[in-house]
Amino acid sequence: MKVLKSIQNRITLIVLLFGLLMIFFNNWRNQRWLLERRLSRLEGEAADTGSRLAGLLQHLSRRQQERAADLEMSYVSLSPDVELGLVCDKQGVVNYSTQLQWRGMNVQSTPLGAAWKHFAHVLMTMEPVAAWDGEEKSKFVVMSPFFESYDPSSKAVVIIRYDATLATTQVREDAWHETRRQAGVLLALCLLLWFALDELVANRVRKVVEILRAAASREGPPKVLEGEDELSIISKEFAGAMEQLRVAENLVLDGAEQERRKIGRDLHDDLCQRLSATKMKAEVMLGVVEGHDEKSARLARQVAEELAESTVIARSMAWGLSPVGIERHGLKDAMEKMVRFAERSYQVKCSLDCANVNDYLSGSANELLFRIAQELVINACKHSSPSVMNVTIRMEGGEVLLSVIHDGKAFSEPPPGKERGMGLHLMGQRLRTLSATLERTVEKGEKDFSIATVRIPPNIQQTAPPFCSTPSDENQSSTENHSSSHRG
Amino acid sequence: MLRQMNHSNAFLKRLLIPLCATLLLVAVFFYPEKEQERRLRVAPGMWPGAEALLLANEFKALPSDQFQIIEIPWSSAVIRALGSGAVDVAVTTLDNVLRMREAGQKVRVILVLDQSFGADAIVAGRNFPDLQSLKGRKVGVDLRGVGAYLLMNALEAAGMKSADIIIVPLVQPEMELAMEAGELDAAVVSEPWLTSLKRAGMHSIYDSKQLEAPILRVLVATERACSSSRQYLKTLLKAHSNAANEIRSAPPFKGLQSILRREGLSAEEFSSCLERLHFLDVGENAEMLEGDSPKLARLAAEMEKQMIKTGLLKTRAEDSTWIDPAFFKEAFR
Repeated sequence: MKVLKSIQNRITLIVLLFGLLMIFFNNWRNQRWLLERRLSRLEGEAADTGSRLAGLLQHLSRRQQERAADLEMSYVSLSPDVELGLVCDKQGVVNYSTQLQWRGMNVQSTPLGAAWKHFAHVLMTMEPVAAWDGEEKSKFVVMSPFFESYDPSSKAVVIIRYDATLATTQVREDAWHETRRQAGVLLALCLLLWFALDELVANRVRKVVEILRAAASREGPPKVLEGEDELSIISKEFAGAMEQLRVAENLVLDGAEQERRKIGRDLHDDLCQRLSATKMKAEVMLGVVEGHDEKSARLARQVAEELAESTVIARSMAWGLSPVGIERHGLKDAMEKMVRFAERSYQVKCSLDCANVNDYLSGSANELLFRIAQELVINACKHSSPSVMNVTIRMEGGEVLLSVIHDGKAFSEPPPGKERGMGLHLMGQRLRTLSATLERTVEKGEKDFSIATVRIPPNIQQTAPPFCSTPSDENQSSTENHSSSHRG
Repeated sequence: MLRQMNHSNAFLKRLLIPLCATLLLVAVFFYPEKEQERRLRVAPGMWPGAEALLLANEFKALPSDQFQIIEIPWSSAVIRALGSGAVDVAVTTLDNVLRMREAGQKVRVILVLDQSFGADAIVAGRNFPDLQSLKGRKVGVDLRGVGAYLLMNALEAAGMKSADIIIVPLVQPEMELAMEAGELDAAVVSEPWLTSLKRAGMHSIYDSKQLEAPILRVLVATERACSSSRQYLKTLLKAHSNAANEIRSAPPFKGLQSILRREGLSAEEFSSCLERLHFLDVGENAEMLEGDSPKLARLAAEMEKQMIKTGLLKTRAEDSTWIDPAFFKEAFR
């Protein structure tokens, strides 16, 4: 029941069902009311006709106006509900009839024989009776007595049987006719309601959903639904909230970046200096003991070498946390260092083709691009186990294009329910800041190559916010930590 | 271009629902009011040739929810009922149709039932051997029925005028009692009263066989019935045809007793009655009703001329669409 999942369809269906319920209830009520009215009218007509005919026939019989009585009976049969009308004397002989074939016969032989028997007391009481023949109210019988002559024993009676079947059928058909009309109006109104809901609500809800999806995919700033209605207000509120969220996110990232830079600087300015000084002292000590105490000299040499290695690692870590030099030496130099680091740390054969994009990217955009490349390269080295890798930065159709190609395992999104890592999250945030897109493809061949392509549109290249990019330094630093500890 | 077309398609699809709803509303707005289903009210009158209609009703060939048979015992009352709209279809004579046309009544002849060959006659006691003998005598006649036409033609044939006799206006069922009571010397009657009077010792001194323009009994319907009850009329013609075939078959047939009770005749008398009638079959009816100049129109023109001459009609009716062969064609072709 996919149809019922839509609120628009549900509302329309509820209105339709409720409307139909009302219409059928009205039909039932209407039928009852019309039927009661029609049957009541039939009862009235029957009683009137019976008494009128009895009076008239009494008069005509006394004046021996038989033909006029015949004509009267014909006029009685004009009523569409009259089934049969008879005028009988007290012996039951039919004197007049709406159907001429019964004239002269005994009433017992006619279709009104049973009614005659049932209401035989009328000739005793000389009081008219009118009653329904049975519970289903399909036949109505009226019997009106009169005197044929001036002799009180010359009793006669008018018996008329009315058939209400036709009237009942007509009433039902009338009610159903009205019901069909009402159902038609209801159906048309439901269609209009459905259309109005589609135009005023569903369409706009779909637009809101599109806006939400766009916001979720972080394709630029969230749009706002035009108009002044409730959905538009929700959309505006949502856009505002998204903006605030992004500002807060940027502030957090900015803070984190600054903290990392500070750690990087501390590492470089303090720890690296101390390690260098200690290394120099170890070399001095080596000079002092060399030739006198070979055992101590060997130990001092080892200490000096390890201190030299630790200094290099610490410098790399510091550089990873705070990549100073992009502004000074350019993006290419930083990329070169990063690639060499990956090569050294993960034993991956790396190549770099880096065009000069400094004229197209601002300093902060350069740094963001570097961080994105760093994330892609380190991630690939860590999770895809490539043997060769190529990193390219070039201009293409006014766009700055970064591509990372390697022969390792293709990137796969984390399974549902498992959150993306911080590195990917931060990379997404950086891509959004640059309004850049990331596309991952696999080129099939003798050997499969995974390609990650980042495109930075031209209008953003110089206008990237002065955002202190957040490296996925935890990648590099952790990698360095890992390698240093490994080496250690 | 393709995008524009897609745009147009989407626009049309969006318009489809409100368009359907509007059409539905318009349809409901113009949904015809339910006409009261009226039964076709048929008045066969009292005539042996019309018994087929009553028999068809008895055989349930005329469903009771579609047809209402109203038995009116004399012809002038039938004509009045037809004129007032109390009945939709009636059996009457061609001269009555001409009178109705003159009065401006919109009726259509849809079938010719029979031709009278002696079933309408002037009857008198044995002491009146011919029309001449009725000079200065009381003659009962239904002035609004076929009797007037028969009497005027009879007087003309005998070289007499209406002033030569005393005309007593009566309806057919009254004739027998009036004759018995000695109130009349002669009466112009049709079957079944003709047989009743003959049974009472009267004899025919002039009958419909002697007429130049014959007496035809026709089935007439009101213009309203012709337009609103076409199907019912076709059913009526078919049912009548089947019942008439039953009656024409050798008696006793089913329903004979009802007919005899209604007509007040014995089986032999009824057979004798039928011998004085010629039932027109489908072929004869086609000849009567169809064509550019149907035979019925020619006979009516002749009768009309005679009726104007004898003063029964004042003017020639202008209405030329009083014969409607459509129902006959649809029912039997």
